[in-house]
Amino acid sequence: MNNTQSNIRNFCIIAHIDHGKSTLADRILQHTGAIDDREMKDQVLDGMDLERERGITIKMTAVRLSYTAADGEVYELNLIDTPGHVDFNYEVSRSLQACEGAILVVDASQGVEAQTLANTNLAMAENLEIIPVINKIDLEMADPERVREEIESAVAVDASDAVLASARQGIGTQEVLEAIVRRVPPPSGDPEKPLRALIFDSHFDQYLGVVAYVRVVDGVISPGERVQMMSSGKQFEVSGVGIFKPDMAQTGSLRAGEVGYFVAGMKNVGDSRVGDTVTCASRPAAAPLPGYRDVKPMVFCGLFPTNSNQYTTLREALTKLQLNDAALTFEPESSAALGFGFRCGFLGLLHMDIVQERLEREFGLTLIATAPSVVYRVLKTSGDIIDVDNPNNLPPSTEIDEVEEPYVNSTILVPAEYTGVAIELCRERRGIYVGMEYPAPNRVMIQYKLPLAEIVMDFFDSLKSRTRGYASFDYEFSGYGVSQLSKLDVMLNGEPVDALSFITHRDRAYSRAKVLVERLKEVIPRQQYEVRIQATLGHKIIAAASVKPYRKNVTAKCYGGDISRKRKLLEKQKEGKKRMKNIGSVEVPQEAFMSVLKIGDDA
Amino acid sequence: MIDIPKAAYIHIPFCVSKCWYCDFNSYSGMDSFFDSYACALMSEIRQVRKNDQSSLQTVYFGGGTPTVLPAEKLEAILGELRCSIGIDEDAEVTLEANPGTIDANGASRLRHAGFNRISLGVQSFDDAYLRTMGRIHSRDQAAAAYNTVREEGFCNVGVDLIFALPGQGLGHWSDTLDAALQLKPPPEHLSLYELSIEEGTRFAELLAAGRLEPVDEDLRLRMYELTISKLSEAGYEHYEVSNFARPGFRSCHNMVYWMNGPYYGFGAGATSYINGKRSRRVSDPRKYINAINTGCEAIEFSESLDCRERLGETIIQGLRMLEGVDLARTQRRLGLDPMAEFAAEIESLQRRGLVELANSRLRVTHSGLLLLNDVSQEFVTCA
Repeated sequence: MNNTQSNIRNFCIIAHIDHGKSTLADRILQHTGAIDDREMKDQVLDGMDLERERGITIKMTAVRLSYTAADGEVYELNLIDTPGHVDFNYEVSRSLQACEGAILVVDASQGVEAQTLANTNLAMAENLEIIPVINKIDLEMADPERVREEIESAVAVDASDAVLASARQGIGTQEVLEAIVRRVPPPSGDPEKPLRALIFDSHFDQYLGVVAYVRVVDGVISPGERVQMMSSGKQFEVSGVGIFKPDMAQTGSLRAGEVGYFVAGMKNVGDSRVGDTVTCASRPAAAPLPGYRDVKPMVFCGLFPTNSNQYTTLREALTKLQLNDAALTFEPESSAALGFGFRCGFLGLLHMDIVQERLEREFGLTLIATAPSVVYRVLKTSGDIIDVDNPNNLPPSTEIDEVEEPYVNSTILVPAEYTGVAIELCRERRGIYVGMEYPAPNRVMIQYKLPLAEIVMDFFDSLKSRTRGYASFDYEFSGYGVSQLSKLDVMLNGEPVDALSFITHRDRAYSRAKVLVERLKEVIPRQQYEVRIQATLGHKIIAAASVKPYRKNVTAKCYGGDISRKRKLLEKQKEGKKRMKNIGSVEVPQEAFMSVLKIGDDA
Repeated sequence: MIDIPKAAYIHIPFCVSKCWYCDFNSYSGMDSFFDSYACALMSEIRQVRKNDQSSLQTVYFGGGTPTVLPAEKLEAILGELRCSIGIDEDAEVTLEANPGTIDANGASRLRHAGFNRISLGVQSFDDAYLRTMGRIHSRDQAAAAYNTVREEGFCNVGVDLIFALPGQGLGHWSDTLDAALQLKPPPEHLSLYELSIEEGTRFAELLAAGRLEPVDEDLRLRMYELTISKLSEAGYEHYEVSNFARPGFRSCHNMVYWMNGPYYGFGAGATSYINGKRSRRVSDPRKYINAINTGCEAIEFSESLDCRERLGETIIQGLRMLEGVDLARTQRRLGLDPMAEFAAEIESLQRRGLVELANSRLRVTHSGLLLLNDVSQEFVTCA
């Protein structure tokens, strides 16, 4: 392989969910012989089952490919995979920073979506060369010309020589590779300068410790060298460097322009933070690469094992996941209603879902999750400022001077006929209108400033159902703003249930309380005694409902002699009961704790 | 301890047509298998080794509709039981029959063959309901069948009825009960079942399609309460959740189940319970016939429970009877003290007012009867 810097091309693929990013990546891998057809599982880059199932990319990977171009030269291509979801925006921006070019995949029938916009904007911010690829041209609904126009008007990228492709059928793969070679500039950077390498991802390996994924910008990194993390000042001795092909393969060193990994006995992914700059301890660079920031969780929820003796397993499981996921935070939380568990912090809702699902699937846990909360900033009358990520930690109203909540800038893309419903939803959710554009005929891009708390409450599901699935949505954190917020509490038969408390805007408190008690009434099954459900604001009851006791629960038939059938039915029912939480004398099913989340729409 | 069964259940898995609520093991359109099925049944019965002490005190022919078989077949099967196992002189020998499948000749022949109790599946006295249930008979045919079996000498007749039919009101059910009580002479026994919509039935399909409105819980409760009070006024003992009898006419055979006693089971889908081992035969009549004819095991499922599980089952079954479970007798039979094994459960149920202890019997209170599933749950063990 020709290793001169001028023959290196570092690129990534950006796309909206389901527009075919992973399939195109697979074709590129096959075409360049990185994997042979026999090894080909669909979507090699998405290593986790969960990713494959959900069709999304959570963890990035970087693969080095060798490609002999039409000009007869052999090029070293580094494909850096990026997560597609808004929760991982920061990671996306860091992996984009590691590239000089981006392939923008747009579905030939779906056209430009909100994520396409968001990711393209990120790529343009990093000055990447953008190569549009219109994918799925083989589908009946495909309309490449319309999509070409959309790309030009919506994201302001010249799409006149966009590659027309069908990754599924292998059409256009060669053209994509040629475009990369021709149009993506080779990396600049000086191998003689002091080492500067950008960490854009990492994973934890049981034997090697943390494997840090890096793009070397200046200098060279090789084993035996002492390196320093420029954000923390921590030093490590490099024990190995290599590349992904796609499996890890050791090389002697990584030079300016190259992409690969290094290991250095790091015990925790927190030691190799995404966006950080690695430099040489003995000859440090003057300044780190731009753009590093500390990733902070935006959404919190309590995770409690249904069965209290799974507490230790849950802690161990979270610790294990955290090895690979620096954005995940957790600390012990105890709830009067749910017992001992953990308050966990996530980048966003998808991140939360994924972690929860992995805990249940990979560690066999049964969990109750409380409704997600954002982080409120409370200015106390004492002058102290505290962050509150758990409604139960909100100080009494007498001690509060002001509460601020996080806001996001959101972008919604919808077919024009849904403009009205989308705007209505944003208004209902306390949105502040920012602007509206028409990136393509019959498509509207609506921008609103929205409280994050409203998005956490089922916003995207509502948006999708009101627009019959046609809307796409993206957002980014914009800052804090003062709001009139109050805490709403719930009591069951007079006993407060801390896990059901939530913070809401004062104007919405009454209507949300009403919807919540009705929801609880639906999900709490009838039991031997009446269940009174009350929602309170301060000490005032503002909504109430009750679940009538059932008075009859007896199987009339005795099934003749087949008693085992009856017994199995009883066992199943009893098993179902075990999954409920006993609060006082009330049996509360798990859905109840999530019903807080579902009250956004009707209130 | 060896438990020698003194009860036998014979399953006839055939019906003229399948009723819309029925999830029992029954099939229509299998007339051509009647002969071979009867032969297989007899050969299964023959395989039981005769034991002098074990002659049967109760025999129960259930279905399906046993009376779709010609009377001589039923007679032959009963004869095989008598000859292979033995039947006590004063044994209770029950035959389930459906109106529309029994006439005077048949009834007479069956009475003479030794059947002495009829359980007649009437289900409703309203022709419209009978049609929507998929029954093959009318109200008049039901009354006629009842009179026929009476005339042919059956002095112990039970009638089955179903309540909480879709759209049924309290008055309608009350009229149904009156109609049953006005039969001459009134039935010795009434089985009054609340409709439960079971998976795989036509009713379940209709329910899923939103074409069937189930009766709400409060009304079902009122129907049940009405049933209990009406029947007790009419001089019936409410002795099991859904069963009522004139004094001395409880179903001895079903009591064996409720006391968790041993019983033989013969026929497709039939369950036997012998020495703590419960075995169920294959459901499909053709497979059953085949298995028996080729000398194979017709058992598709069997389980042997440990003592504590048996104890739990004994209590669950026993609590279906209003007189409850005889704790001393249960302890003698199983060698475990129910009060010790389920101390916490029984204590909690007592506190909730669902069970009570009297004369060494554990029984449900009225609220406990209504919430029997919750009570029973306490006596099963989850995996």
